[in-house]
Amino acid sequence: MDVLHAYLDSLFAPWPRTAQVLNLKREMLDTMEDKYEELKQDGKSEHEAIGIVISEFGSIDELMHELGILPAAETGEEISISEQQALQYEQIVRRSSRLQAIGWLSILFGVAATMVVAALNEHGAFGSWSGGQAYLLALIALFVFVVPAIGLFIASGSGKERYKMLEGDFELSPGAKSKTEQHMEAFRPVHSRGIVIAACLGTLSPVALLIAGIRGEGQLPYGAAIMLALLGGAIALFAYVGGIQGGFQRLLQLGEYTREKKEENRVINRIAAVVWPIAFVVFFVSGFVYQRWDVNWAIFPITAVLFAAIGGVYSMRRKSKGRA
Amino acid sequence: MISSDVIRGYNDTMILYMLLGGESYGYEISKNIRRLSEEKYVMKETTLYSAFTRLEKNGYIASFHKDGESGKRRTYYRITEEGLAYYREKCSEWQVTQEVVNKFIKET
Repeated sequence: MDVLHAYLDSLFAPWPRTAQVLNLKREMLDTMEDKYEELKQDGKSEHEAIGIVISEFGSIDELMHELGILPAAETGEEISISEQQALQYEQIVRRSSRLQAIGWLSILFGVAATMVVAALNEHGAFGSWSGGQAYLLALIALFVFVVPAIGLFIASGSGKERYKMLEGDFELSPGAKSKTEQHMEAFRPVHSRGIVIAACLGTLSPVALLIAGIRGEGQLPYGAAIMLALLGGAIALFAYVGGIQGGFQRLLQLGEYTREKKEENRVINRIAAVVWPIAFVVFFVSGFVYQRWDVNWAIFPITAVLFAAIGGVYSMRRKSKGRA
Repeated sequence: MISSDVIRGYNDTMILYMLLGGESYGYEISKNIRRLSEEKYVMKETTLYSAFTRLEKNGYIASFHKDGESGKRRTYYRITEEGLAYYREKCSEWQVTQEVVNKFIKET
């Protein structure tokens, strides 16, 4: 009798302990015990009786499939991502990367336009305009670019909240995994081309400043504006291809999205949420209040370098702590 | 013994037939199926219970608890009106199935 009990226990172990399943298990045990008793009465040995009962049990997987019950592991903490969910997430990531790229382009163009307007004003291009009017124009130029950019950033986040579970631990279904791997492979050439072009734009951008500097100090703001526009192109490209690549990596839990890295990135993202807005505030205050448009753009490369350094130090410390 | 693949579509019909004569419980039904088939068909436990669940969900049978002759508390099943109608439907379906398949069967 205990053998039958233990046999059913082991068979039911992987399945969720819902009322329906427990009920089913109890009823099946009853039936098996009835059968066992009768076989014994028919003169079968205990050993034989148990053998027959077990051989006539059937397939528990088939039964659970019929009842539409999933193994406990699949309904528990480990979330499973289906093929359809993975494809949908990919679509959302592509769309949001595109919106973010346009957003970055718009912001950098806006800042560049503001600098051009300010510089033109400095050089008396607006003739009889008062300083206030010229600054109003600069502000308008900024808002025309920056406000839609903010809208784009907000829009880029929509749809993603349904995939919050990807930030935690999850499991990709086999179909979803192979599909995502295929798509990532197909995206590889686009990704590397994008990164190369973006890197070229980024590296070339200071040349504009250099040329402007050679042509005279008065030209510097124009050079800086061109540099920012080029940087805008570079950042937009990085955001686009990097965002899509990041989506694939997140699904496949590669690179920045392995389980250990996820925790690290959560901390670094919190730092970024503070550092970058401060950089923008410094930029605008030094520009509009102190009118140092000629040098204040340097805040962005400086922040970028500092931020990279902070992130680097943090992950190094984490790694050494992990080893200790 | 008959392969379960062949008979799969008629497990529900067999159980309903067993309940035509009155209420019964898991082991009794399975034992009677074996006896009626002259030991040629043994319904597996999991087949029996997935059929019970399916039939009850469709409203063809109803379950209730009752103390059996041995004093053991058991889940009993009885056939419903819908179950009876479904059983008749399956019977006429089998008539046709049998006629059709028979046309392709010959003693060789």
